Amino acid sequence: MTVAQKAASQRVSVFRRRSTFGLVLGLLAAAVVFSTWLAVSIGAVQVGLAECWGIVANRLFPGSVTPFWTPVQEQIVWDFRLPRALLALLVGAGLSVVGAVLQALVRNPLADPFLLGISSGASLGAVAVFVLGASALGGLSLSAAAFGGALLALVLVYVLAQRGGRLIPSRLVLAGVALHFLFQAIYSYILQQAQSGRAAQQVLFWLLGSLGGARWEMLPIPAIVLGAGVAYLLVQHRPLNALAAGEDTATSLGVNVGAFRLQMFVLTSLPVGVMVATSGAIAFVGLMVPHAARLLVGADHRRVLPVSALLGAAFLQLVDIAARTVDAPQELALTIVTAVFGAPFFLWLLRRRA
Amino acid sequence: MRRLLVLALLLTACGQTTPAAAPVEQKAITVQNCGRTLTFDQPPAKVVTGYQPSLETLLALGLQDKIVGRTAFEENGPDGFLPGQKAFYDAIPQISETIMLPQKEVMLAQGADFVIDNGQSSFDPAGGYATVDELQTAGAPVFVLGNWCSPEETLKSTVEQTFIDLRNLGIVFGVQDRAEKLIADLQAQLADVEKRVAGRPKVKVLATDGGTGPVTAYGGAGLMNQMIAKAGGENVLAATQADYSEFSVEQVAAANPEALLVIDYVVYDGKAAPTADKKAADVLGVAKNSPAATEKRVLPIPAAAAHPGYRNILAIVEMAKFLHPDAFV
Repeated sequence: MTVAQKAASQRVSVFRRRSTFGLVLGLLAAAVVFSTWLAVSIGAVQVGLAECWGIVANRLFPGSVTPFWTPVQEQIVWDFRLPRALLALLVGAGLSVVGAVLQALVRNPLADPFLLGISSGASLGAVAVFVLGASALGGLSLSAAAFGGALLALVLVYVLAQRGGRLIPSRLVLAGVALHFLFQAIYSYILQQAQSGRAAQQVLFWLLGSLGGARWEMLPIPAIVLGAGVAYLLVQHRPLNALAAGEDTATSLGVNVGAFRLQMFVLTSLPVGVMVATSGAIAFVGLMVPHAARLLVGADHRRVLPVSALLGAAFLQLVDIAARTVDAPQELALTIVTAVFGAPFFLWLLRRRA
Repeated sequence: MRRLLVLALLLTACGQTTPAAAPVEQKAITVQNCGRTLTFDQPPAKVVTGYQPSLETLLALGLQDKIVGRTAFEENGPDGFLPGQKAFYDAIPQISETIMLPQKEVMLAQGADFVIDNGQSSFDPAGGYATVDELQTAGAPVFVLGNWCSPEETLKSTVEQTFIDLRNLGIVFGVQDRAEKLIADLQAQLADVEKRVAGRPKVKVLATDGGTGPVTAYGGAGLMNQMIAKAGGENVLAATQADYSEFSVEQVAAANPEALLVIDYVVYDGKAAPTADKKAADVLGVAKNSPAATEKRVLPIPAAAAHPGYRNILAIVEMAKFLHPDAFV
């Protein structure tokens, strides 16, 4: 057992044994499958279960089922629900894994994808397109502008937080928070100056996160970026554990701390930019899911990362189902729902641990 | 506009629901508005107007000489104005660069003796605006159109409130005869529409402000829902308790609208706000199997017409002609 793992295993966990970890993974995988089944089966408009899954089966294996449903039902299930469910899984897993990595990286339990100013950079880009119009930004689409804003924030945070090419965690956090407030000030100003309050209402909805725009044609980019990003982050458990035990320990274990921090910073920022561009700024998930994962399986990143991914995916799926059904046919913004459902669950876990 | 948003956030309610004309006494003029009694010794002569429909309403009563300041109105450019009103608009001093009233100090410095707007957002202290109380204390009673006194009352607003407002404005300015003439004219137009669309099958209408998911649209409460009904349509979202809200793409697709109304507030100088065409294309993409999509049956509605003011009745006529062209040959 390495020093890092020893340090990690010293932290109390609800489920410590290997077999229990397997059980947690299995249960969470089942939760992901069940929540996704539910997401495709229910929505603002009632479509029978037979129709729902007949549509999916016939799309996956053309001709396997003779259509007995209406074109609108097919549109609802195949064009709206399925891509939205898949995006929920991707974004939920992405936010959670990125959150877990960032918390280890800057050694700050309050770190989340939004702490480093990247989400507010993306929000600034989106608000500019919403309010000033695409023409004001050279014809950029909302997603492109949001991603551009995230990149801008990333570069600024990096420039401000590095010294001699090395990222300093405390400066990273402070620069990120300062930029966050600066970006927030700018987009709030744009919103307040907006002639049209209707645009402001739509922006506010978007800023609070929504998967409502999910369509097949917009899935490839998040799927590739998040899929590859999460997969790569998942195998970084060894240096992350070393870093969690302290910089000196990590260095003695052969981790080039400076290079690793920089690499992780870029590799977490890009998925955040993509996620904010596709689904707005969804709070709570990236901050709390990693902590919930640690409460379940301890602090070892070998366990925390996959558990975070599955837990985050299932959690955001359930949250999105609530967002689109609780007040149907009106929709709620995701951030309203994430905390309402997530906070009690997290507090329960916290109490259990105590 | 912004008032919708701020209204939704506004916590203060005005209390009473239906303002009605109080009996006119010998000297003091009094009317009820948003649960307040507005009292005047003589008709106001230094009026400040808010969002465009409030100015339009006073112009329709021939009160242009009484208005000393107005807000900016850039929606839809020169076409955004009602016929004949652009010249009056140009002649009145502009005291705000936006559709909102100016900030508190600028507003109080106008020395107005009457302020009219629709909704409450231009009186929200959180936005830096002078409140209704502050203006009243400064000698400028505030008149809110459409009974949009609070979010709840906005949901209950009726087309008939337009006539109550006109009658009260007639009393305040001592132009009851003009007010009654305008009311009679507008009621005749409504009656004509009612007669023409009577017995015709209701057209299923979606009134939208665009979006690909969720879709921003008008639900079953508030002014727009009634305008659709009076024009011989049936709001496909009538079952919901909302005025202007975000709706599920599933619901929009399943609603199967036969016609689309798109709220249009393109700002003329090219900045801001997507065009009605763009918003219609987005929403018809969501409801792609609907008759509205296959027939591309779309009517842009100026945003000003979706707010309290006499323009909403003119819009009902346009909507009826669009939904039932055969009834107007």
